[in-house]
Amino acid sequence: MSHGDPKVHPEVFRLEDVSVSYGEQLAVQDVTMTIEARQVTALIGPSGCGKTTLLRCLNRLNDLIPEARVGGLVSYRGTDLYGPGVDPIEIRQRIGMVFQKPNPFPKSIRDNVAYGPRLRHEKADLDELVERCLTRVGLWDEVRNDLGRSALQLSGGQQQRLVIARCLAVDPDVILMDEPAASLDPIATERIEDLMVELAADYTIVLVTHNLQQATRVADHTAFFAAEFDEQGARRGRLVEHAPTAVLFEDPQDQRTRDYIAGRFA
Amino acid sequence: MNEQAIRTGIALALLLAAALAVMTYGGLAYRRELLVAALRALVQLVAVALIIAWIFTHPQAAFLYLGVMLVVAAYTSNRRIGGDSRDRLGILLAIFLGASATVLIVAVTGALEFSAQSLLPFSAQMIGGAMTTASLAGVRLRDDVKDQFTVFEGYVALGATYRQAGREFSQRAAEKSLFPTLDQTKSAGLVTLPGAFVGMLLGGASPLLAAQIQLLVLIGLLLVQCITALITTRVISPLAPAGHGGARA
Ligand SMILES: Nc1ncnc2c1ncn2[C@@H]1O[C@H](COP(=O)(O)OP(=O)(O)O)[C@@H](O)[C@H]1O
Ligand SMILES: [Mg+2]
Repeated sequence: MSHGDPKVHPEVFRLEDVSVSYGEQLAVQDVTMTIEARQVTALIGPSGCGKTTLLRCLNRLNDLIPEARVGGLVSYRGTDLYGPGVDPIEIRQRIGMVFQKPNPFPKSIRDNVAYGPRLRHEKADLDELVERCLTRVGLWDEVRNDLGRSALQLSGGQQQRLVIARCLAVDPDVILMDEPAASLDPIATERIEDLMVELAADYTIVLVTHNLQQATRVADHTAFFAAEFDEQGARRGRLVEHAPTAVLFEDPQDQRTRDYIAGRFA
Repeated sequence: MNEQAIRTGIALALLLAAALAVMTYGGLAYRRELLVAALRALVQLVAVALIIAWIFTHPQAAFLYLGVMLVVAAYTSNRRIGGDSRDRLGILLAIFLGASATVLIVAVTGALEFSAQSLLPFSAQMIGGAMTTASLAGVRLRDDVKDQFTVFEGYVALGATYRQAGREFSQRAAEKSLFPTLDQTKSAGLVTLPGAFVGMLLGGASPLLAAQIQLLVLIGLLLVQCITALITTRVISPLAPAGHGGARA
């Protein structure tokens, strides 16, 4: 785990006053932060404070929800992600996503990994690519003789690693992970955590987690979100503080962060 | 009025009166609805009969009739699916291609005489079957996508367009939409006597001729539905337009 030095780690995302609402309902408000390259950045905080919502802005997956509105600036490597002329398809190939519940495609293991490259009509040696991606996630030795088997028959932990391999196959720059281990047992969780640390050598990772220990184990930076209530009692998520993980956990600046950490570690 | 029409009228009145009496005796609700339904059927069928009788003497008008039917079918099916105008155009195409492929085969082989008399009712039945299939297949596709939305999102997150992601669901949706017709075809003559068969017998045709025509209808419907289901599930958007509980590009 390496700690953030802005000169070594150029910024990948810059968020300025980002607010997301669903219809009239504001979900997360005025988030300003940067996310650095080849680092693991964790988003933590109580459930409902907008972590998933914010994460899904980073690859325009919120486009799928018609009521979702994004305000402020989400900049990815200098490009306004919501600016005119931005092709969300291209963005999603650069910025992959791993979901809370493993979502393997109802296809063979091989076809799961080959799906992205085939979409781009890559005819290059897919067998070789499939092997490379499965090796990278530590799944190759377990499935090398069953590449034609349905991905639905894998265990939850294997499925989640397959989903990560599927992302790697389109050669992304960033991998977004939304509580990727939430549905896994401790051993499978540990494998995913090890994998995240290892992948951070080549990819920028943004991890949503409700597991603070996980954040301390894998994240270089951690951003703490909390829910606030307006005069009408409507809840919205706010970024409370964002710092190198060790700093955030050992010397939090905000009382809400201190309370949350104390509560969750107790 | 000829004598036949008068006898039919008397029979209909008696049938209806008997049904209403039974409903009253049994305390069943919906008597009004039954009456309205019966009157609607009466008006609609008489009107259609008059129109078709006129078309038989002006065969060119058959194309107009089928064209109107096609448009109405596409509208009806699209409303069931909850699609927008682009979906409607796709459904129109799906119904048109399914029905015309079938009619073409039946006409070219001479299995049905090349006349408005035989091709008009056959085409109309094919369009009707295609409409049912388009609705079933379209609703199925959107339900499947909604039920497995995390999988749909998985395709989109890898850079698939909504349509490309939807295509992963279309095969299954098209297959499922064929089940009712497959069942109906398998049981033809066993559990029920299908409509064309009964109609022809009543009209005085020989049972073997009635069976031939019924087979053209049943097998024709299978082809119509394969084509229409495949096209529908590929051309419509897999997501309901905004305001129908989903999003789309
Ligand atoms: N599709 C949606 N439509 C409407 N409201 C939503 C939707 N998704 C999330 N929300 C609301 O946005 C807020 C933040 O949710 P979410 O981003 O899932 O939080 P977290 O991931 O931190 O638990 C919650 O109040 C939630 O109810
Ligand atoms: Mg969440």
